[in-house]
Parts: sequence; C-alpha cells; structure tokens
Amino acid sequence: MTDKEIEEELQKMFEINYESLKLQGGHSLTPEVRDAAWNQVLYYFKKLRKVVAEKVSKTEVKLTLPEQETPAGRRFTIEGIVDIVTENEETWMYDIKTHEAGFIEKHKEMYEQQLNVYAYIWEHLQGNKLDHTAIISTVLPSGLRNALRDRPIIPEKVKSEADKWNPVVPLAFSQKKIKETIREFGAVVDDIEAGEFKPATPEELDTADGGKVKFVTRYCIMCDGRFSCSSYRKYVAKTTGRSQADFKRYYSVYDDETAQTDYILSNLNMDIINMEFDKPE
Amino acid sequence: MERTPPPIEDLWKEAGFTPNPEQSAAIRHVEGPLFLAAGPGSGKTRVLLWRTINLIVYHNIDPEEIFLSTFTEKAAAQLKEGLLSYLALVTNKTGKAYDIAAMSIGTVHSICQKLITDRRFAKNRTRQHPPALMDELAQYFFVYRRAFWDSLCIAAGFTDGDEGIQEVNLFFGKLYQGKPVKSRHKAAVELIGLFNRFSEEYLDPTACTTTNKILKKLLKMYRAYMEKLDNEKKVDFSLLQKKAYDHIAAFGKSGSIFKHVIIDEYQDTNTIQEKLFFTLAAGYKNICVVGDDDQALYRFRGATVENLVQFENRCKEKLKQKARRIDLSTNYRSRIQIVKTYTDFIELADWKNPSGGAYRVENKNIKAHSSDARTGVVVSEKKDAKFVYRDIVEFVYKLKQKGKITDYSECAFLFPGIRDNARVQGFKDAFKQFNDDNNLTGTDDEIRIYAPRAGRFLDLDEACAVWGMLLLVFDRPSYGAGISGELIYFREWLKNCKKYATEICAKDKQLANFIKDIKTEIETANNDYKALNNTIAKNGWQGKTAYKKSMSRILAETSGLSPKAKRSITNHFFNELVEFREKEGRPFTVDYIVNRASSLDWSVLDFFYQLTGFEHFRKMIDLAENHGDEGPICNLALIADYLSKYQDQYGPIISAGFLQEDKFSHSLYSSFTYALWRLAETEFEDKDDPFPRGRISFLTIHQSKGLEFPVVVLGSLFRKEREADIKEKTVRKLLHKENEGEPLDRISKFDTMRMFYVALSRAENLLILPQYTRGSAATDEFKELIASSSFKELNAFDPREMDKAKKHDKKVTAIYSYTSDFMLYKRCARQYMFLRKYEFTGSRTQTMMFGSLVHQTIEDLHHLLIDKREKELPYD
Repeated sequence: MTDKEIEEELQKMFEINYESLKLQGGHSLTPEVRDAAWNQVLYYFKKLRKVVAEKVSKTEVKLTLPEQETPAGRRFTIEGIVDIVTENEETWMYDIKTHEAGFIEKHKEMYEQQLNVYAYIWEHLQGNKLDHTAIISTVLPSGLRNALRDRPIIPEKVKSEADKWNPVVPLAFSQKKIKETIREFGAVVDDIEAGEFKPATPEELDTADGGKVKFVTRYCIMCDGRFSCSSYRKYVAKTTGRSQADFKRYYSVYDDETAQTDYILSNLNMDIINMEFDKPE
Repeated sequence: MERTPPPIEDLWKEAGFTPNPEQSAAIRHVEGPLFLAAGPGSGKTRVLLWRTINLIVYHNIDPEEIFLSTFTEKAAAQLKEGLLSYLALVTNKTGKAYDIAAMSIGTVHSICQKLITDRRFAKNRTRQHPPALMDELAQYFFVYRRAFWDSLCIAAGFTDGDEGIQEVNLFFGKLYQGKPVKSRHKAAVELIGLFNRFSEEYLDPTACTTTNKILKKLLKMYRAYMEKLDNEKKVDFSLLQKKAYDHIAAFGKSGSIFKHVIIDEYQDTNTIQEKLFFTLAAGYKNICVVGDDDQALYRFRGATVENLVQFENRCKEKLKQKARRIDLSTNYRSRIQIVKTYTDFIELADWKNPSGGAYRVENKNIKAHSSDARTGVVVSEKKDAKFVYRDIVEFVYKLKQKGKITDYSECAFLFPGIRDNARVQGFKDAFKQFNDDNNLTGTDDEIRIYAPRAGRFLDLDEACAVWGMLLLVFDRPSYGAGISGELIYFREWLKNCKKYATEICAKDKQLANFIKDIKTEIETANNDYKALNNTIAKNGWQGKTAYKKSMSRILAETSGLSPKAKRSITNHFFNELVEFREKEGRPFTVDYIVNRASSLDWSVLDFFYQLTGFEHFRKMIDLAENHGDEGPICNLALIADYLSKYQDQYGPIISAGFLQEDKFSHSLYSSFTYALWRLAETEFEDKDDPFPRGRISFLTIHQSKGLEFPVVVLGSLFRKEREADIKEKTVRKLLHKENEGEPLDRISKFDTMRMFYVALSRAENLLILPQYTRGSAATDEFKELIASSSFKELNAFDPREMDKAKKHDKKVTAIYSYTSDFMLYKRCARQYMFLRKYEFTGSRTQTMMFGSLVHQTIEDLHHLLIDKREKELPYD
C-alpha cells in the first residue's frame, strides 16, 4: 500500500465513521468542523506515522476498573482508552487527545493523575509491562492550520510548520495517589447521580492556565450554556463593567473574525439561497 | 502469563446474579439455534449479557465473530457497558484482555451500516464508501419537495404532480366529501410508508404485477425513488437494510463470518431483517432469538410477529436444524396479582389458527418470582369519567403524601395513544383542578406531569416562547387570503406564538432591547445587500458574473455600506482565496460575494442559546441546576435538537439573499416548522424522551416498551378496532401472501391485546385500572377480566399494603469515562449537565462528536497499519 492509498483508505474510514456517528447521535457536523477533524486525522498519520502509528501493537485498548464503589455505595466502573506501542523491548502507553499540546504541557499534573490510573490497571491488574507514558495531541498548531488555509497551499510552508509541531508530550507515571484519585472519582459519580451541577466559580473563570489563556476563553466561549450561566454572567459584568442591561456585545456569538470567515466559507450554500419555495398547502 | 478464568458461577456471585435453571441453561447453550421465549421482566438482558460472556471467555469466540442486535441504541449501550465491565472482571483475574470494539453490536440499522462497509464481506477486502443516511424527517423532505415530487409523478406516468397527489390520496383512501384530498403532505406521508414497507419486504417493483392502475404507478414511483437515492448515494432507514442484505448476499460466503447471531426483541423484526439474520447464520447455524410475541408492537412499521411465532419452523426450513426452545418465564418485576392479571388477560382473546396451532406461542406458563400476595391491581369505582379521573389523581397524591412513592416519576400513566386522546386531556384537567383546589399550584407539592407528546410538541409553552421570539425577529410570510385547512390553524399558531413572545418581552426590557438590536442587525444586512446590488447593476455585472479580485475595491466603496460588510469584502485572507479560485478557473460568483458580505453572524441555534440568557428561559435551566423540576429544561433540549435539524436541512447561515422574498421564513416556518407541526399528527413518536425528576410521565404504551414503574395507571382500557392497514393488504397481494400470516380481519384484535398486555406488565407494585360508565369504557376482554377478577376498588385499598417504592438502579453497572465524565465534570459541572445530562446539541463546536470521529478514525488507521504489517513487507 502506498502512502496515497493509505490516505485514500483513511478518508473512507473517516466518512464511514462520520455517517455512523451521525446515525447514532442524530446530528451532523458543519463542514468546517468536519474538515478540522479530518485534518487532525490526516496530520496525525503524516506526522506520527513512523513514531507511533505504524508501530502500534494494540489500539484503543480499553482499560477498565470494574465494580468500584462510591462513598454513597453506588457501583461503578472506570473506563479509559489508550494505545500501546512496544518497540525494542520498551512499552509505551499513549493517550490520544483532541486537546492542544501546549495546554497538556501546562497541566501535566492533571494528565499524570489520569495516566497513573491507566498505568495501574495495565500493569498491576492486567500484569503487563510498561516503561513510558505519553499524551498525543491531535490539535494542529496555529502555524500549521494557517498554512493549510493558504491558497494556493505552499507545500514547503506546510512541511516546515508540520516539522515544528511536536504532538507528543511524555509524562512520568507512578503509583502515587491512585487511591485518592479513585476515591475522588467515586465522589464525582455520586455528585452526578445526585444532580449536583454548579458551574465553575467566576473566580475560576478569570484564572489563566499557565499564565496565558483564561478558563473563560478556553471553555466558556465554546459552551452554549454560558448565556444562562450565573458564573459567566458575573464574570462578564465584572470584567467589562457592562451593566446587565447592555449585553449586546457580551452576547455576540463570534468575536473571532478568522473563525467567522471559515465558518461562512464552508457553510454558505448558494443552492439553498437560490431555492424556490412554493406556497404551503 | 494468562491464568485460567474462574468458573462462571464465581463471576455470577461477584456480580450479585443468581440465575434460575432456565436462565442458566440459556446462558450455557452454545451450539445450534436457540429460541428464548422471554416473558415480561424475566431478566433477558442479563441472560443475553452472560451468554455473550460465556461465549467469549469460556468458548473462545472472538467478539468480532458475534452479531448482536438490540431494539434501541440505548439497549445496545447498556449491553456494551455490561460486557465491558464483566470482561474486565475476568481480565483482572486472568490477565487476558478482551476487546469488544469490533463486535457487531447495536440496532439492526447501525449494524447494517457497519456490514456495508465491513471488509470481511468485500471481495477484495476494500471498504465501500458508505451511503449517507437520511433520517425520517430528511426522507420526508426529500419526497415532499415540490420539484422532486413532480418528477416522481411524471416518472410514474401521471400528467403532473397535482394528479399524482390526488391519485395517491385516492389509493390510500384519503378522501374528503368523496373526493381525494389535494394535500401533497398527506400523499407524501402515505407514500413514504408504502415505500418503506416495500423495502422491508424486499419487494422488487419490476417483478410485481397488479391490475390496479394506481398501484402500477406507485411501483414505478418506488423505482424512481430508489434510482434517485442511488444516484445521490443516499439511503433511508428501510433501504439501508435492503442495501446491507444485497451486499452480504452478493458476497457468497456470508454465512461464515459470524459464529453467533443473536437478536433481541425478535417479535418486532421485519422480513428483510429475517432474511439478513438467516443468511448470516447459514454457516454456523448459531442463531439465538429472544423475544415475546405477546409484546409485539410494531406492525405499523412493518414488523412481522410471525418471525418469532414461526421461528422453530423457519429453522427447520432454512437451517435444517431443530431450534431449542427455552422459556424464561419467571417474572422478577411484579407482584403475583399483577402477573396473574396480564397472563389471564392475554388468554381472553381467541388465538386459534383454523389450520392448526395458534397465532401465538403457547404454553408459556409465566409465573411471578415474588411471593408478595398482597393487592397489586386496583380498579376505580365505576363512575362518570371526570370522577374517575379525580379519584385516581387524588389517590396518586395520597401515595406520595404517605411516602409510598418518593418522587412522582415513579408513577406513569399509559395510554394507547397520547395525541388528541380525551382521556389524556381528562387526566390533565383533573390534575390541574386538583392542584388548584388544594392550593398546590406553584408550590413544591404541585403535581406536575410530563407529556411532551400529548398534543403537539410545538404547542408546549417552551416551544411557543422560542418560536415566538424567532417570529419577532423574522416575521412570518404572508399566506394570503385564499388559504384553507391546516394552514389556517398553523397561521393561528404562528400568530399566537408571536403574541406570547410579545407578552414576555413586555415584562423584560433587556430581552426587548436584545430583540430590537437583532432586528437592527438584520436591517443592516438587508441594506448592505441592496446597496451592493446597486453597485453591481451600475457596473453592468450580473449575479452569476465571475468575481475578480479587482472588483472588491469597487464593491467596498459602495456608499452606505456597513463597516462589517466592508471588512468582509476587503478581508485579506479571503481575497487571496478569490485570486486563487480565479486562477484555478473556479471563481466565486458576484452573488456569492454579496451574500457573504450580508450574512448574519449567528444561526437560529445560536439565537436560541442567546435567548436562554434571559430570565424567562434562564429560570427553566436554573430549576434543573437547583434540583427542581426538569420538565422545562428537557423541553428546551428538544427544541435545540429540532433547530439543529432545521440547520441540517438548510444550513446555519442566514444571509440577506436568503432573507429576500421571504425565502428564509418560508424555509423555517412554512417548510420546516409546518412539517413538524403536521407530522406530529402521525405516529411520529417513540423518541427517547426523558423522564424528568418530579414529574408524572404520560406515555404511549409503545414508549413504555422495556420500562417498568412502581405504580402504573392505565388511562384507557379501550382502542377502536380498525380495518387492516392498506399497506399490509397491498403488500400481501403483490407478494401473493394472502393466505400467510395472521388473517387480516383479526390483526386489529391481536394488536390491541398485545398492546394492553405490554401496558399491564409494566407495573411493579400497583396497577390502577379505570372504570368508566360511559363512552368507550373498555374492550370486551377488559370487561370480562374485571368481571371475573374481583379487583379491589381504590377507596378500599389501604396504602399500607404498599411498600415504599425502592429506588433501584436498573443499570447492570454504570461505566464512567475518565475523560468525558470525570475530567469534564471536574472542570465545570454545569457544562457537564448541559452536554452529558440533558444532551443539548452544540451550536458550533459539537465537541463530543468531533472527538469520537477523530478517535475512531485513528483507531481504524491503527488497525489498518497493524493489518498491513502482519500481511506485507514494510513499504518504502
């Protein structure tokens, strides 16, 4: 199979998965979101073919910690999914994520906690060998994303941007804090079942991760629940000084003009605009 | 090192499962066809689950070699969770890991989709591109749209679309004053039903003969419909199954792919599915069907209960093997009296087949596991309906007051049909009256019901408010004076929504200002559109003129243009693209540029979410956040779902070009909303509606399939007998099956009996039956049942006889994902609520589906590469 054939096959698999997810969820993705997903898959292959993709020995391994009990006595099972690569007698565990690499770097502790639990299941419960763990971020860096938006596409530019990209974030793992994490997990399960759904606090929204992007920018902007969210509203009132009577701007859906350009580009359909509607009967 | 698994009994013990001898036998059955006649509440899900575990763990069946279909995605998800959890239990003891990702488990539809693209069925092992699947709504629009409708009619030999409408309606008996109605909507709905039935019967339109002139044309329409879909690489739900069958049938060795074919809810399968199952099971002959003919509900969708009743014969005929029948007849759900009631009830009809045997699986011997012989069934006093409603409502209230139910959601009211049902309205009114009389209205003790499908969904308060706001922003198109029929009522509905929204705005100045701002925005877009078109005319360009980068300067200088439109035209990135497309010879059109510059920044779904920021809507979400009534938020989530379906049809962009000539408002109101409004009249139900906390659910019996409730009120004991469906008659005639299956004149009775059997068997502790004096009080069988059973009356029933309803978790086990549950919740519990608990459809990012799509495709890539590595030398 040539690279081109693999890419063609990959495209097919992508479509198949898209159609079946559409059936299961009853929804479609807008074209630009679909394209973004496709680019992540394609560049995962291009970038990590040699290092990971071709060497994966076990893919989408479901790691399951069954029959746990929450503080309130509910039974639950923890599930996680990883890929395993064994090479030169060394075993790597990869968790592929659609989060940005930079973000993962800055939240190492959070991801380590996760991988510790996975490693515990893999090593101790299932008795496998493990030498390294790492997170792979499939999110393309902005340089590469921009290079792909260029028309015509300049292959050298794409290549140099792709070369700069480092999607693999190695993380150390240990057996520390496993019990605490599982206990915390159980408490979350209890809270979910009890219907505890308070938002993050306005202060949390205002906090930046690793000194750069604020919680509100990273998460709230993507959340359709923000308009009705007490924390978001307080945050906006506080930071913009706008009275609640004037939140036209705060209500603006999209501030990012680049994103809006892409959005219109892939969704504006002249066939629909030129459609003829006859009077209903 | 892998260790030997412990005996399965040890696993059962650990999972808290003690199978009875029949269950155990079913679980351990491995070779040959198996027929599990599973009565209500007989633990069949556990049996299916453990049987699959047994196959995988103790008989080394690769999950990939198992085909397991369920009736709903929810049921499949539940089974998957159970499998994962118990297989992990084994893994932790043996070190052997299991992967069920490649297992064919899901609804028949989703497995069919998988089969079409499954490499194992492809001759050269390359996958096919999957056809795009149209859901029911998309199928409706596909057929209903004027242009396609006309072409279908002409292909069939009608003079035009209008003649087609009348002839189709004539065929289906849709008459008004003796003449066929002129409704394209009605014709399309009927025709779709027939097409689906054709597909499910695997009917070849070219091979059928008929003397009926219209039917001849309908067969031609069906052909034209299939051709059109083929050309566009689309399928509907019914054709998906046909496609899958054709695909595997063409392969030749289809019987040797799955070692085990397991089908749940077999009584509700159809002809094409049966063909599919037997083809897949032809090699190993391990077909296991689970079901209960007495609970067959879906004939109106083409299901044939004969698949189950005749299963043993079909095995002999098709597999040359005798099926083993095991009856799962112990009911673990209900009190003795309830079990006795529904088993007595079903026997009251005459099921005899004149040519021997019966139209029903006989000798089931269903018995209760419970030893609780206290009262389980009560009847109301025989009174005028409105007093019956009142008594039952009061009784339910008492049960809650006395702590016999802790939440109203433990009580369900079931009806044969919810829509336009006088009983439903009667009970609704009685609840309202009761709340008012006892000063409960507005208090925490108010009894609330949840019945989103009673009456139109669009008539619900939440829907009227949202559509009203839309109407304030985008006014409805004028339908002129000469309209009639449904359209008049629809226009009334539009007017009322707008009026309602105006009232809401009058109380909320912020909201009123917001709407005003939005309207200004739309006006700006319209002005930009006009101004740009002036410039275009002045320069002698046309809409279709190829757009050149050099034109952008002229357009941008249009006087009176808004800064936003100007920016859009001068956008640097975009102009590079313009240049590139110019060079490539696929330039944009001038029209495109104008629409781009004059499009709004938001879609209807965005607008909806913005609305939720205002008090009227916000408090509905606050309620859920504060442990209150979940009804409103559930309805809001359904609205978001509908609006996203609109966007699936017409795209999310609202451009000024689309706003001209009322196009947009026609698309949103006259086309989409009107279709919803009208389709709601058909059996457009069976949605996975939620059961909100704090509310009594009003359900159709169909919706209650597979569910159970501590207290069940059966709201009506009557359903009118109807003539056999014309589709049924048509198909039987075309396929020369007149003498097969249940006699046409007994179908209605059988279906009514089965439906009520399902209803009666949903109750765990208490089943309440009304006794009305007048009107359609009860079917003969119910009258007989009540006359011969000496049920206690409501007022003689001592609630102490009832135990407090146990809140029992029905889930075998609950699986939580580390990332999409735990981490998401920790980040923001409210966002978790939005996405995972109430499943609001995302307006832009649709994170969930995005992540799944990327992950699944990468997984497939890995499989491909692993496969390649195992088979070939490394390339390059």
